[in-house]
Amino acid sequence: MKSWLASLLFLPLAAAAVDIPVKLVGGEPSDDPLAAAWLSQAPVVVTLYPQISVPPAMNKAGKSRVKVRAQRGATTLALHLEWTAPRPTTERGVGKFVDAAAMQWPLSPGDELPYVGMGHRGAPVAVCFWRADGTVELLSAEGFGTLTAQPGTAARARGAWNDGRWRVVLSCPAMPSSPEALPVGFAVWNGEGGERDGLKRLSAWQRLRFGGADEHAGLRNMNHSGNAARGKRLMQTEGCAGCHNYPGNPAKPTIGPDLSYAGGMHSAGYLADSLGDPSKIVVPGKGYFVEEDGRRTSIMPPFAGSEAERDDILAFLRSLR
Amino acid sequence: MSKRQLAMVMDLNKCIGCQTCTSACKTQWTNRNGRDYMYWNNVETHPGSGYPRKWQESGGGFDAEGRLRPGRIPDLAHDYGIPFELNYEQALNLQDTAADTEAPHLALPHLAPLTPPTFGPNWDEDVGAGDYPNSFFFYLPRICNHCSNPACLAACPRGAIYKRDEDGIVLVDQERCRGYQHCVAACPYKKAYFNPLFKRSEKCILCFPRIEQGLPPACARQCAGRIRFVSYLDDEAGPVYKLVKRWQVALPLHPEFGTQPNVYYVPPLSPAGYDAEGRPTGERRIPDATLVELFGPRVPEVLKLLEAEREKKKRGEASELMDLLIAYRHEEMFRIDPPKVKK
Repeated sequence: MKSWLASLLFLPLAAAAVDIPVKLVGGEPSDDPLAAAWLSQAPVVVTLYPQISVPPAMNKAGKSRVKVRAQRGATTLALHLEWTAPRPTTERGVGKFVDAAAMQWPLSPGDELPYVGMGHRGAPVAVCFWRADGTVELLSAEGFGTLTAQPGTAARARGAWNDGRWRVVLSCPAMPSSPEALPVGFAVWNGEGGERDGLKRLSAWQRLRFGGADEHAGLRNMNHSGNAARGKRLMQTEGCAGCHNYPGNPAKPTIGPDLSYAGGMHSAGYLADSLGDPSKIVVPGKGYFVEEDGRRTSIMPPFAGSEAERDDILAFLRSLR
Repeated sequence: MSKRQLAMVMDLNKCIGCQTCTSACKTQWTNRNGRDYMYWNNVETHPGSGYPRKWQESGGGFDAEGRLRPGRIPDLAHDYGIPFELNYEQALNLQDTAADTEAPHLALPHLAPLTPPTFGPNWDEDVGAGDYPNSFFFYLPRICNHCSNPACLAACPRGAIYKRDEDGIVLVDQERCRGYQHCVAACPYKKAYFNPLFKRSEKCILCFPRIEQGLPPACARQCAGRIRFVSYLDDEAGPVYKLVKRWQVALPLHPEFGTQPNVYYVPPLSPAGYDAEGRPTGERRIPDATLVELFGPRVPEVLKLLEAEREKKKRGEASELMDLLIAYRHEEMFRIDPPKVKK
């Protein structure tokens, strides 16, 4: 376990990734979301983007934020999420959906981050999922549509709604709480708006920081030299605009995933991969790939332009957030 | 598409709206465990609001390009109707309540729902449309169509809905379903339901445990009017093949929804309407347009054929079609594979 966690240290997270410091507390973290021990801790603000990569997709208006706090006790790692919800919805029924929140972390060893939308084939994530009806589950997934409960594994969560905000403490013993950094992602659902499943807001991969050294290595290694304005023009001339929607593309095509928040949601490494080697991580959306003998090949051709053009396009994609 | 498709034909000329099918289905599958509000089988009066209310306007299915059309999830109280809880205590234990009022004989409580209902199945039963003496209606029994191109299946992001290869029955895998209810919205017939107790979606299973025993679905077997035929679509000796393919008198409901439904309907004939002087007009009382809207443009020619065959039978001539539709022998309405021998 230690060895792959060490390799995670050098994952190229996008500039959007923020470090979430884990505070060491005496005893165990409180499971009361309104406890002073939580609320007095300075939160890290993480941006959430509407899920627009695969249907059913969100309406694009609606970037939001979640405040994240993390604490570690003698044995337990707990995360405290706080977000705005004017009216809480706490009951599931016919056409009725509940407020919910989840966090994910990678399960697979290796130097490649799972796809931010619940992993991809061969790169699973674990998901700790809380619903406002009081249910909590530990699940795993290898991409959209594959979420599967992990029976017999414990996950604990407690939520409290107070003056227009949900505050939830999530704690999953299965989550590594090592001294190394751990990539984590967050998602929030607004039940009143009919949100469930892929109708959600999600964050890019962030990093839980337990106090080790030099945790920005991955970020520093990224080449950020491109010119976004040139990249935007290249999106038109190189054919990207024929399949992908993004701000400034009047065609609004739906053949490939919508890129409107590509820079906010994806790591810089993922963006570079998906341009140069689209079949390396295939977005598991209907029509985005062809499958033969269990191998998925993206319908997108690899980018064949120059290095400089590639950097320009990546700079433009990183600016979409 | 499955390898084989079990299909049903319902002859609307014979449906008397007795709801025996509904009862058979409900007692078998939906009278408990969060299913109380569901009618996997229902019989509605047409024209009418239907069940769930205005299901025909609730979206779902596919557009002309084959893309899923957005649909809505019906409301429990206003579109399905909440099953009645009756005031048995109040109405049947009179000694405590009657004495307190000034006019006890007026205050005698009667058996009534505790919560005033706003809708339910058959809310507008037998209301129909048109003005006397040309008012009209007919009964429209509905189950899941076990479509060849199911919108529920296409809409499920989890792949929790599957179509059995051996008989085309469409089922919700209860292990995979997470209760997102996309299927409920996507089904243009509104025959997928959310179980609020188990938090998962459920639907008509075409009584597959009976099918596997070689028996027809309960709704078809119990039908007092003998309106339901069940056999494989490719079985030339079966009644469904004869009615759908050979005679072509059984038509799918709302084929324009794009799901390729596998329940077919023989459209209902009707007596002539009357003019202002009370003379028969010679026009069928149920306007063809009403039926074309449901079953497509072939309705008028099917009705003409049915009338012609009926006239033959009246004259004492042979009519294979009428004999088939009359269904002299109940068992001949069903041709289902015998149960597989267990090893």
